[in-house]
Amino acid sequence: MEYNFERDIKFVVGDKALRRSVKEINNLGCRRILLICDEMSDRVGQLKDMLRQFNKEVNIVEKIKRIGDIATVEECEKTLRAYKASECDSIIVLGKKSAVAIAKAVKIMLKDGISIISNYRKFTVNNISSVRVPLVVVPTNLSSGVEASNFVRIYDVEQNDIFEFNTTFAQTNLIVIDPLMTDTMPPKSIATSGLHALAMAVMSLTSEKDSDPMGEVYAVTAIRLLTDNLKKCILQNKIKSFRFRVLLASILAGYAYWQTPKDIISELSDRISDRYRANYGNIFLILFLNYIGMHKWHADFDSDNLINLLGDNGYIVLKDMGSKRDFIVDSVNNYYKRLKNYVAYVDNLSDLGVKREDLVDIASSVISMHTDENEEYTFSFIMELLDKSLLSSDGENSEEKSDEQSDAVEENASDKEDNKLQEEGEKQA
Amino acid sequence: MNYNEFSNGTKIIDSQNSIDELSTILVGLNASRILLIGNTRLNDLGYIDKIRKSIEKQSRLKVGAVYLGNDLADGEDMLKDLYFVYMSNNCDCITVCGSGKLIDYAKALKIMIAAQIKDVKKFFTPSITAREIIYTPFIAIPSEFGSGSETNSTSIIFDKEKNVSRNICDGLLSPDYCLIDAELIADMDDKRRAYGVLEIFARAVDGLTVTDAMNTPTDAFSKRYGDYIELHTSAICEGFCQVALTGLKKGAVDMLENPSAVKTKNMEEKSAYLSKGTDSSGLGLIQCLAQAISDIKKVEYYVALPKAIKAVFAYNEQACKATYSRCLLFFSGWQVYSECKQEERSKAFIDSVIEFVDSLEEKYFGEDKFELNDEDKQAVINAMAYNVNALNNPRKFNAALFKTLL
Repeated sequence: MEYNFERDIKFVVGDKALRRSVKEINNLGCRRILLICDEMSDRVGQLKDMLRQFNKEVNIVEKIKRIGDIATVEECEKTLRAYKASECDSIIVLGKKSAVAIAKAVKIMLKDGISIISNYRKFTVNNISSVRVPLVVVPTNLSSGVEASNFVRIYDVEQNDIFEFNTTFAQTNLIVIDPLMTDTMPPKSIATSGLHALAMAVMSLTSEKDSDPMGEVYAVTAIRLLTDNLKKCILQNKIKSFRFRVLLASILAGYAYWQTPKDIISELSDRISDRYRANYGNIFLILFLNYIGMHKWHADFDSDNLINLLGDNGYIVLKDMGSKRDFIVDSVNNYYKRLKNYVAYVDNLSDLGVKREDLVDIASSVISMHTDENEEYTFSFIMELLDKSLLSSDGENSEEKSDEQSDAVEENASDKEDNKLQEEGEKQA
Repeated sequence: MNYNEFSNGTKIIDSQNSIDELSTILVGLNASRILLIGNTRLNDLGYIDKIRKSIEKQSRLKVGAVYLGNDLADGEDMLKDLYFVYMSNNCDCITVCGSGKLIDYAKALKIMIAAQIKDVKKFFTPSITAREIIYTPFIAIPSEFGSGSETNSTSIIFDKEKNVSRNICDGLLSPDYCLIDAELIADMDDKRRAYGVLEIFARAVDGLTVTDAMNTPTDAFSKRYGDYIELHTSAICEGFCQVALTGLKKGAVDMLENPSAVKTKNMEEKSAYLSKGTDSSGLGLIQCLAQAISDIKKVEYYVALPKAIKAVFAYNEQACKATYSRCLLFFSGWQVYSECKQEERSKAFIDSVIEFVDSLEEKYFGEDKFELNDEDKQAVINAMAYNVNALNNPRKFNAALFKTLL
């Protein structure tokens, strides 16, 4: 088995987590810290809130505040120069995934003693090093769990190129999730990000690759947290505790999913997202919903946990299904379909601007990476998946409508309850 | 909102030849002179030598001293010896290979060195603060599964003066690495394996039923609202317990009937990960009771577990009804769960657990059976009072009732 546990991350989670993390940050040996923060977190005052919680017990010697939405080569090199100039020994990140990506890239460059990222066109990341740069991440926004992953994508805007890294040296050491830091997001974004997280957790549990036991636990926890809180969070998005739980779930799901090498869905999502500048989470979700029905599981994965969870979920009627696979596929489809009653998330690629004539190109760029790993991923399989995803709702509308009608009776009662919840939520908020 | 959790960062290595990786890990931790702690049994079997050779593969690493401890030795005296050996040999790292108890002592040594305090008793009161922390790399190699000591941040030390075991809980106690070696773990006998399964079970159920110590019903609380509070188990902890309980019974029966190194290693993995996950929750009632019984009757901790499990299940039947109902789902699977009526699930879970414990008792623990007389029962109740975690339960501690259930 591999050294999958090298990716073990400490979590400090819950009320006053920032305050409690001070001891952990000191125990990690952070004496001179570089702070990286995105533009939004600085503007809405989350940076100030965080520093107030640290109460000057954490020694931040340099701040890089204006990180944009994309992690660029220039930002990475600038941050690295600032790190060296201030003789820092550790990094704290506050904010979105672009800030996290920059911090990880800096960590990798420090390890290799490289100051220009384009050097990685000639060299690969060195796997041996004793340089230790503790990295602490304080997430503020629902993302695809990159905080817990070892994957880093840096964009070279000038050359129109992307640098991709996957190394244990990009590991986050400590993640601090404090309800104080969770952003308010519109219901649609919460739904998409939450469902994306759920998709990652289900994918990691059903993966046939060697799985890390920690990943399994985190996937199970993420599914439970999401199925318990996502609907409430969408209906009452101003209540911190729900937002906080969904954020925690998305990070745990990210940990679980990113532990294994990239699979076909993330490869395709990356390609489509780069080509059309569309939201990665949306693409992932659409592909996942189509993939789950097409993928031929051999049912030799440890599905008991997933079945238990889905069986325990209020949406699922426990009955004797034909096989574990059918049970999981039906449960997942059912859950996603029902959640659509509360928020209309995007469910086909054409709505994101993907064009049919590009599909062959996208499929060909991905196929070369997967032919040797899994026989199932043939060119025709990928094309079928993309084809289905392109117009997933159009073809199934008529069937779904009749299904929805039959479900409508039982949903009416719960809808009323949800309306009540929403009103209460608004009052509380 | 009351929602706190924390997961510890001990890295678990369960690769094919994990001991062979020791030198690479130690270099990464910047260690140079290592204090190697083991016991005589492992030394006779040649494991200590194997570890030593693995460490000294790197020329910059030296084993400063080898200390062969004993599970039954006086803890405080052993810690004094260990402290002296560590200091006099200029060691800068601890590697321990042995049972949960031995790892507990080594962890206590680690905190003594890290905080530069020679007397372990000073850590019994949680208020102690060190002037400066000396980073001491620590690697644990368990030779038995079940206790979870190899990955958690708790050390249980016997207090001679009070005649009870005391817990030291501190983040500094968690090992940097835990190395799981299939060959080493496979050397356990059947009885110890069966006890190990019970230890995992007890920790998983405790993890699901412990509550924040601040929320434990007090006298004032119970006067106003009653003796029970609603359970709020942290999500990560719950996930770990759930995964540990899922398939435990089936896996245990399979392992005990057809033992193999792989199956035993899988159990150790379950144990180590569970221990990480439940680390922030402290000990639960089953563990505290078993600890107290073991102190009073002078038996091993795990020998007291069957009695403790049965007593706590009877005591918490009402307080943990909802949790026990869900436990049935994890422990027996969704088919049994779905066939059982909602109001009967808790009872069904308790029944299935008692049946499971009885079957193990009959087959493996027959000779270890013991009874508690009235005096013992009172002493057990008194011993529990020393342990703050004993009250870490959703029901207000009712000593009189507890005594009748023992």
